[in-house]
Amino acid sequence: MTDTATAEQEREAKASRSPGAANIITKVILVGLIDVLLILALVTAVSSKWWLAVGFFGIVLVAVNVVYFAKRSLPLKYLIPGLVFLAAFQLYTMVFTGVTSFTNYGTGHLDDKQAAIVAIQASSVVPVEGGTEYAVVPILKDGTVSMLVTDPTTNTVRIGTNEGFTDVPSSDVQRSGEKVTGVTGYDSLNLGSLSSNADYKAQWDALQPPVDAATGTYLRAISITKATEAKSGYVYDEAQDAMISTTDGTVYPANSDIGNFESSAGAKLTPGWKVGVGFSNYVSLLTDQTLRSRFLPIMTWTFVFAIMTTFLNFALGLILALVLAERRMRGKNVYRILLIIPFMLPSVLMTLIWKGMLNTDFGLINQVLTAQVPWLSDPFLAKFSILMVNLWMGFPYFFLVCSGALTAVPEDLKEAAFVDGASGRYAFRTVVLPLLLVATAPLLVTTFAFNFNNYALIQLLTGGGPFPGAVIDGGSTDLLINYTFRLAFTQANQQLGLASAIAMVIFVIVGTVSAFGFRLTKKLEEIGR
Amino acid sequence: MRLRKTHMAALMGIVALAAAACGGSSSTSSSTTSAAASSGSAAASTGATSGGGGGSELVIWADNSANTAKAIEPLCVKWAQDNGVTCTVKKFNGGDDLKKALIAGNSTGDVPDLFEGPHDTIGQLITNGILAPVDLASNKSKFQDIAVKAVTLNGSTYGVPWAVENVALLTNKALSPTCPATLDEAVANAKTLIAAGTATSGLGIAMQIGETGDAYHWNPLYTSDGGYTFKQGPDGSYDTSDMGVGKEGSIAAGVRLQQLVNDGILKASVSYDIAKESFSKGTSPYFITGPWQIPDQKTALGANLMVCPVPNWAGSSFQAQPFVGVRTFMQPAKAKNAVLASTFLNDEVMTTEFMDGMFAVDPRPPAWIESYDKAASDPYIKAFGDYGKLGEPIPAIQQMAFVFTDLGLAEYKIASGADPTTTMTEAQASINKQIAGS
Repeated sequence: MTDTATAEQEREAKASRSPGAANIITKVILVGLIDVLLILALVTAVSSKWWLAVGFFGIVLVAVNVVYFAKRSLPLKYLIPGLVFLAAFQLYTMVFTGVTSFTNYGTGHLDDKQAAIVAIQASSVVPVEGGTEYAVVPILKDGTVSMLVTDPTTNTVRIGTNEGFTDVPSSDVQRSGEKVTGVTGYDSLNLGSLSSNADYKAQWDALQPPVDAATGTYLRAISITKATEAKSGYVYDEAQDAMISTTDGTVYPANSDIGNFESSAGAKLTPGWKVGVGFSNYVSLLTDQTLRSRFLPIMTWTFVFAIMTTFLNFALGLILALVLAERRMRGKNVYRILLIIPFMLPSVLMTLIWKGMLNTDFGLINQVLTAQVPWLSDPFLAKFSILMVNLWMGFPYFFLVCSGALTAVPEDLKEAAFVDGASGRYAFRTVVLPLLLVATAPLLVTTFAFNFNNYALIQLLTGGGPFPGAVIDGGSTDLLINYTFRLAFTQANQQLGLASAIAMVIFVIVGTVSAFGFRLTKKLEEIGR
Repeated sequence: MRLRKTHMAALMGIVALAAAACGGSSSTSSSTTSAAASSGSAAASTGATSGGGGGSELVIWADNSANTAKAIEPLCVKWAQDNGVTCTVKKFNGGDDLKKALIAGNSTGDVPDLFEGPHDTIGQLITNGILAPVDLASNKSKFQDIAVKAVTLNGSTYGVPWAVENVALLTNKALSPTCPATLDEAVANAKTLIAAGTATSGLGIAMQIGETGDAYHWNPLYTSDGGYTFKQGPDGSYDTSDMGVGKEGSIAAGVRLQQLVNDGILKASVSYDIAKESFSKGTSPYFITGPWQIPDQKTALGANLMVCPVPNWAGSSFQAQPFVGVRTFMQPAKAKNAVLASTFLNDEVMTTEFMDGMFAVDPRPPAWIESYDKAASDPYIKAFGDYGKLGEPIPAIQQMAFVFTDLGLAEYKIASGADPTTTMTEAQASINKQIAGS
């Protein structure tokens, strides 16, 4: 008796322990793998001095280990992967966009002031017209890199440093044939030995032996074997915090309100740098006459498009689903397959095919109609065409969803309605539709949100056109997102700060509409109960 | 429907990003990978390394949509091996992706030592502080004049040009046995062919316009009536206060465009595909396009294909000029290995062997005179090249982008029936406003 009891206890204990051990091993391996990845990410983040990422990976590393090895935090074990991805891919982008919307980030203002100073000086270097081209050799002594320069006309050899030149007695010059290869007392560097040492490389890049102090001409290596005479167009003066032109002495003081070096006459040097501009992007969105005249119609059309497309796709899908739900209908499967075809084809391809078919002069549709209907080049018709194309591609989704949802509506409820004397239409409106909406309302909200930002369709079908003004900016079929994208990326003058401000406005609109929509969904669910 | 696809795409994106992050963390720098991810699916880096370089590496970014990167890679790797360093060519699917990665990478320091691209981005890149000048020094005279002119801005050259591209008048010998001597002759011939039913109305001269217009392909006709965009000074600078849209010549070109549309020679709705198809089917005698069309059209037309210059109007003093685009090796100001980059440019790129090697893999008309002379044994290359010498480089200043969009749109509107004078004047106001605001 006692024997069996102990045996049973042991068996029980074993049963509860052995899978536990396997679980723990699996857990340690998996968490270990994640730890390895995170530590690697942490190391790279540290080495590239991206402190925000360092903090993020550090916190995630600690959190993952605490959550999966502590006993208590069961819900967090399920939530933490989602939370990490939410922070990395949603919160970070949102905060970044928000911060950017308060700056002048964009063309000519991409970097900080230090970078602008370096870039202005570097790109202003002008070769001296008709200047001499010298053969050079990089040479090294006591850790200092200098330039062994051979004059092509006199054949004299000199050592050039940033202080100036020193002559080399011809007996010290090492040659291979005609070519000067080095000088006694110095090591000659070749491409490999120079470029593999960061210190030598930096010294070589900064070598500018002065040729003529009066004109500011210096020698600049244009390769490891050649140097030419050059001159800087602008020099930075730290005391004045200004750029000074070497040709006419104009002073360009730094203007940190706009992030540019700007002369008293208003001439600006490019590039500038990124500065905070407060609310001015939002203000110009509301007050700038041109911006406002484009922003409002585009916003209206965006709403019209998103609402109409959701409604039309849902309505057609529902009607077809009702028709095919009819028992007397024959050949249902054939119809179903036919109706789903637009859904199965790649939408990018379909959009392009539609674009070809809708061409005014050469498109299939106008050829069949033998007419010249400007489907995509008339502002109103273009909007109509977009809705129709999107309907063609979008209704099968709702057809499928509604077909499924309809089968879930209990038959007896409908019968009860008929017994109570309801007409078909009345029964549909009061019984079937509300139950259907319970299932489909969240999908309607997400369809709306998706189409609100349906960049690809508009871009491929009309590119935002036709354009009412003389400018490609604010077309009749532009959605807010297309307009924003153009401001931010495709225009030569990128206005990323302003585009971020619009993106924030879109975010608020979509967020509000979705929140409102989901609240409505909740109410519907109460009907379902 | 699309919702699910989006969710799937988002999920796959997350997985890809995660994978990219892992890949980055195991390689030497994570910034490389972040740029690759930010440039979309475009970048695929290939580490072609040679042995024993002591860790110094020349990194080149190149567009591989037309074999360019493939042409550079073996040449660069060989040079690197000879000099005891390594060379890596990162391939991009399209110049736009490359440019975006460059602009995005500039503030994080994730830039290559050299990159290859069209010269007309020079202005935008300088405005963003990305480019460093490259001194062509004594090699300057070994390039075609127009190529040097194209990369010159404010007295400095901003890269080493290697190929010159422009449009010309592709002609179908079956429909026009000789090159038309004047535009009048070409138009008259096209009209006859349309009346006979051989050619399609609207495609007498196949020229793409489309809903946003196309100022690049229009330029020979635009300049044939005296239109211009910006004029280049001797030091390569452009006077942005003298912009040609809205001036007399541009209006004359607009009036002519509308006339040609009314005569059935051109049509607003002609897209690239329509123009191409019509010419290869033999329903257009002429086609304004570039050398990239040669392989396809050779297949379609065989010996009937002929490349002609776009002629002038009879008795006109204006030259019908194509826009010339110059493919260029450029050096970022923040290049980590400037000495490698400049040595590669000076000692290797500016040699006939290198330029010949580029042409062998990516056959675009070379900018290096000696290589061009060899390549010109191909009659098509020679015809494009000869016509290109009459052209003008696309102005490399940032303001040119405003002109391209607005002049293109004006072209479309005029071709669709809008009044030429009003439309051009509107475009002028709009462009000048953007220039003032830039």
